[in-house]
Amino acid sequence: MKKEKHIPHSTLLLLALLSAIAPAQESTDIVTRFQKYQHTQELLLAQKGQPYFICDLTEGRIELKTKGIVLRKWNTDYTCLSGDPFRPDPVNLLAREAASLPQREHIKPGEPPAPAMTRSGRFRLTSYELEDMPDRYSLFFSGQVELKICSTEKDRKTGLQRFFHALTREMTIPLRTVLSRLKGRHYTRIDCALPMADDARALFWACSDKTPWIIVVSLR
Amino acid sequence: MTRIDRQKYLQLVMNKIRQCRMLLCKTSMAFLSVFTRKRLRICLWILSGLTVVFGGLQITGRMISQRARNEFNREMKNRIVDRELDKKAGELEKKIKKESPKGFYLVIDTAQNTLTLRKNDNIIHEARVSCGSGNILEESDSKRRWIFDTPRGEFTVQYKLKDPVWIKPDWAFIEEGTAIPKSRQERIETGVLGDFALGFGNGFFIHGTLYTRLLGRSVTHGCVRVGDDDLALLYRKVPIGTRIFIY
Repeated sequence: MKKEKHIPHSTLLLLALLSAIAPAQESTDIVTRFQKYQHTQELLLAQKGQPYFICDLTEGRIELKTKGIVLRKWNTDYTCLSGDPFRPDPVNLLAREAASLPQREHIKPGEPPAPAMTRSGRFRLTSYELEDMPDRYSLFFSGQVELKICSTEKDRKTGLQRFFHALTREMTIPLRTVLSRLKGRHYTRIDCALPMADDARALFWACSDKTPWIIVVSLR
Repeated sequence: MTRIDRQKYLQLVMNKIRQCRMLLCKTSMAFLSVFTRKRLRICLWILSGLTVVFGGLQITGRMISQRARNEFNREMKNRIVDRELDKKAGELEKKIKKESPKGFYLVIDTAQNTLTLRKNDNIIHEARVSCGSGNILEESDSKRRWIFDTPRGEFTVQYKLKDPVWIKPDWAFIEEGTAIPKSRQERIETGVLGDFALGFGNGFFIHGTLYTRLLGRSVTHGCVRVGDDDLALLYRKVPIGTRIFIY
């Protein structure tokens, strides 16, 4: 009788291990290459000398940089990407939208503004200050990317409000994705919550139109 | 209250309760009568239609996003060539290193009204300052217009002055509502800029102030006001050519 040949258990185990490692290795390679690509894009921006923003959704941070120097850093509490992903190429800030945008005061000649003392001991000024900036706004970038900023400090919702917010979000995002695809465009929406209202205001203050941004999304 | 009064009162209350019950019955009947079998069917149709539309949208939207994500991953995998990137990144890094500031540099945050003196990545000193108010001044005949913002971007310390004098520009006279003088002598004002001033171009200075209580607020016409001690330290430490980053 012919004896059947068996593959040893150790070989099987080794094969199983190798097959498990191979895709993981491949995906790590892609991530590394992706990071390198992002780094190169950032360096290209840094070379120009103008300030730029890096919004890293994987790390949960937004940085304002110039020539590779971090001028200001904001940590995010929560980020959520919906719609289409995009390459970490620089996108330009096209517009800022908020429910109420701050207005500048006009000085009347002959009546220079004099600071008045309030009851709390703080001077009341007719100037354009951080507290006048909105803490909930949208930033629109080239390439149909929309970044919605809010603060967790101010954005405390009741259960019902949260439900309706989620419902409208779940309704509008797929609708906009489908509509933009019908028009042959991409649509990406990023929701981002900063811990403090002042952080959100400072970010609004710091970003001016046409500032380049690099938004880094996760590959998975 | 007599016994008869009490009875009358109880009767009145009972009547009110009866009326309320009747009203409740009538409204509930009216509400139920709206939902006839036909109407109920229509409502169910609408509800199921909405569910189908909503569900369809959700599935299509997600499918599109997933497809785009897969395409994106494939593109990333194929396009990015390792060796090229390494070479390019290396070259760029060298170039940027050459251009990045060596030694001290100043970072001014116009939103928080802070100034930091840094060396490499370390913060050497932090100071409260006053930056531009952002107000607008227009000449009465609307010929000229000024926006009192501190300029943003990269600058360098161009000159350092001790006991500076302020040569008042035209806007200062327009704001005060006085006539613009013709001679330079009439424009000179002493003692308002503090002991030192660091000029960074276009008539903008980092200088001292008489209004120290307003430090930390946006009140200036574009210059950066600093407290006396901080200004003395800056004057001592910061050489001409030091980079200033304002955002």
